[in-house]
Amino acid sequence: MLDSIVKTIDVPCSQKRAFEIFVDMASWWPLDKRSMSLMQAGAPAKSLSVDAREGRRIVELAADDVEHHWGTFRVFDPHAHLQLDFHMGLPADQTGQVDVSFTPIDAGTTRVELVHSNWEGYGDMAEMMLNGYGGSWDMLFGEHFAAACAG
Amino acid sequence: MTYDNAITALADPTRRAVFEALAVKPQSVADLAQGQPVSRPAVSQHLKVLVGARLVKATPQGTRRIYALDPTGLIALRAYLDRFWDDTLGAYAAEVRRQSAN
Repeated sequence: MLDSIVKTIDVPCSQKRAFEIFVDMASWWPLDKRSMSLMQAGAPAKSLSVDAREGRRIVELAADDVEHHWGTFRVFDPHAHLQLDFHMGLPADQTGQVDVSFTPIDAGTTRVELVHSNWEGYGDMAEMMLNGYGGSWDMLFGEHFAAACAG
Repeated sequence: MTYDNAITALADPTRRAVFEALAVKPQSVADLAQGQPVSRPAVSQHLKVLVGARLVKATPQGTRRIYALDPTGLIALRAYLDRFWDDTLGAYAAEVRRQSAN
């Protein structure tokens, strides 16, 4: 019912390489900015474990050694398409879907489109953000809402 | 502030259950009370909070009021996730550029 979040970027490499780097999430995911550990243990996660196969999981190892199951690969179609159930530490029944497609533009450029749908099911994430972010809430949302309120 | 209300409103499990029931389909107070283990006045009270947080809106239909989700209050969650993917895809693109440069 609510619109999906859609992000499109072009990356300077082949489709194969764009896919391979994407699924090697541990090499690029900014754990210092976006991890469960940051919210619950107050420090970046130690690592991210990505078993890049259909039906397999993405699991974060937090600073306090707690494991957080982020999501599960539902479609794994090299090098064109990925689909994940993505709940990032919430119970697995409260999941949104993340769909990522890789489209060659030319030999050295690939368009990556990410669609995050069904995210309104994240009722508990609202609570988690409230508890986890506390004082930094204003920092996270201040800019957006300052703009919205000014309008 | 709108986002603060939305987050606080959804922190209550019963209120979240009411919210989720409305996500499935718009309903009247009577319909909602049938599906929830709480009294009709309690459902009305939860709806009042949800309407105040702009998560839910009411539309008169004859003598009844039909409640449905109001996407306005979900802007905060959407803004959070929007930024979430900007940050993460930005890091991904940076890694592609780093590897392509080598």
